[in-house]
Amino acid sequence: MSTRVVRLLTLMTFIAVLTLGVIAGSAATSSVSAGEADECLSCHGQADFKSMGVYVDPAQFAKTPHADLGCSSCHSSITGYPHTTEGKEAPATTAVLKEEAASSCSSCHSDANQSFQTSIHSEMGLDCTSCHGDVHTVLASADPKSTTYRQNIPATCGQCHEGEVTESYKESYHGIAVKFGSSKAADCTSCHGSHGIVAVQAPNSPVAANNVPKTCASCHGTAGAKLAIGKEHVTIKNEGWGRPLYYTSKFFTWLTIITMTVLILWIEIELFHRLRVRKKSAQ
Amino acid sequence: MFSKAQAQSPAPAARQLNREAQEAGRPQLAPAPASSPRAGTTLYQRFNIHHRLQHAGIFSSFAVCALTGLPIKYSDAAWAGTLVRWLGGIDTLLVIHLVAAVVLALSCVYHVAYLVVAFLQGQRSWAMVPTLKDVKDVFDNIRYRLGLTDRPPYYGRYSVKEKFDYWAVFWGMFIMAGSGLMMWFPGIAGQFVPRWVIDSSRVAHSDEAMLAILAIVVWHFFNVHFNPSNFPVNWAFFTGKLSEEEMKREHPLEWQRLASAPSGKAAGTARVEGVLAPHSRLDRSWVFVAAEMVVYLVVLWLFLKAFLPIGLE
Repeated sequence: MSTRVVRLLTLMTFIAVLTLGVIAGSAATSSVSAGEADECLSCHGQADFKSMGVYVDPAQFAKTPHADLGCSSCHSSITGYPHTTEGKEAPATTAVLKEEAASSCSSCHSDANQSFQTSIHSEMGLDCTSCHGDVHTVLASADPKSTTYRQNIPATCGQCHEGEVTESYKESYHGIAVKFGSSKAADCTSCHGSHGIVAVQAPNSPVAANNVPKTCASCHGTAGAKLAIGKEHVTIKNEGWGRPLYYTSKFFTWLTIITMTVLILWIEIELFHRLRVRKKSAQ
Repeated sequence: MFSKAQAQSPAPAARQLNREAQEAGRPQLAPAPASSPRAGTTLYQRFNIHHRLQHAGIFSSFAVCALTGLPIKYSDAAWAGTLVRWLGGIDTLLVIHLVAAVVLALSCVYHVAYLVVAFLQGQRSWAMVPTLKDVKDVFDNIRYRLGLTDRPPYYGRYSVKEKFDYWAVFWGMFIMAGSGLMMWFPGIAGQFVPRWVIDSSRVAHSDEAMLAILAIVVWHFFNVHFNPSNFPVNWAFFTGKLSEEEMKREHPLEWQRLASAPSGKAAGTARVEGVLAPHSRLDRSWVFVAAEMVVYLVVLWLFLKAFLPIGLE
């Protein structure tokens, strides 16, 4: 055997062993954590835990990207059974658990948490679960069932932001395209940002009047300075910035009603003429 | 179907024109020269290859624009999602819409360029320009169709209907292309106009598109497809030719000019010889006519039911 073949075989064996090792290693990790979750869920997965507010659906939890982390990664104060809190031999209250769990997102998602701390949402008392849902059912944003999947973002924001904002978005091409699964059109976060979202009035908001042209340009290429004049979320109504839309709609609607009525009546008299002439010639 | 007899039967319009010419002391219409036995029927070349290509470019791209635009306008309807899926998703659908829109705009640019070249070559024609006679023709037509007069309006190269269609497309193209470009390039548009103009352009695009689709499907399709004389289709869009009978009936003044023109050419129309296109056999069927009257009344009712609330709200 030539040295080259020997070298190649050695390399291939090395890669094979490494791959197997990684697979075995990850399998081992997950089985350990899954084992822990199984242990917790043997009680917390029972339907009668629902009334205590400490029920976790085992089937749902198994689908979340967090399933591999087990339970104690977030619920770190609970180390065994019976559960203790602050050294006391007493079950942890759900309030304590929630507080502890909310702060534990940041132990992995530190960047997201850092921006979130500067946001208007944080200031108003929202937390991760407000948008991402219960951590025991949370799904990766790429999952079509996730609350933060592109197509679901308008509905997620719409839980709080009702009225003209969501109405006008639904009617806009952005909204229609996102609903149909566009990978390009803007969802709420494309213009407003996500974790670090600030109030519209804040000077550093991407949707503050001065920043609107630049924000539009991030997709549309050119920053039209006059895009700053006016409002984005406008529905067709005889009021404020809705007026130009309202009168445009009225103009074209009446143009259509008058034109089509006249044209159809024209068709009718042409057809009527044929019947009349036929009768006449038959006599 | 390809009978010569139709071309030889004298049209009432032409007969009447002759009578009027006689009364006024003007020369009467010369009959069309008899065709040689070996040649086909006498036909009138009304649309040249440029006209027909412009029309083909416009109608094919118009259909694609309508097909890809409607699911955006009626995005809440169940069929909209199905159509979007069939056409490869919304991002693909928009690309198809934009490509078709460019073809549509280029077809219109082709037409305008054709007009410019024709003018430079001295083939000027003002036949499409609306005149006072067109206003009169509208009222004459109503009176004639209702039986208040026996004299139909006599049309030249373009009837009032055709002028209406032509200028409606002209108006429509400005609205659609202008508003479409503003939505396609909002950043550039935003350097010149405030955003309420761009926002209104979406309303204008959507509403004018609906008017155009309705006008084509209801009105233009009646004129060229469902009119009992043309059912199922008037082949002039393809061949560019009209029969002698059609020429006398629909463009008697043009026919008259042509008859007295020694060259056999007048204002873009040329007398040629060829084979008559298939002719509708339903123009004498009163059942067909009555059925159409009912259908168009239903269309009017459905249309008003859908649009009046939007106009009145």
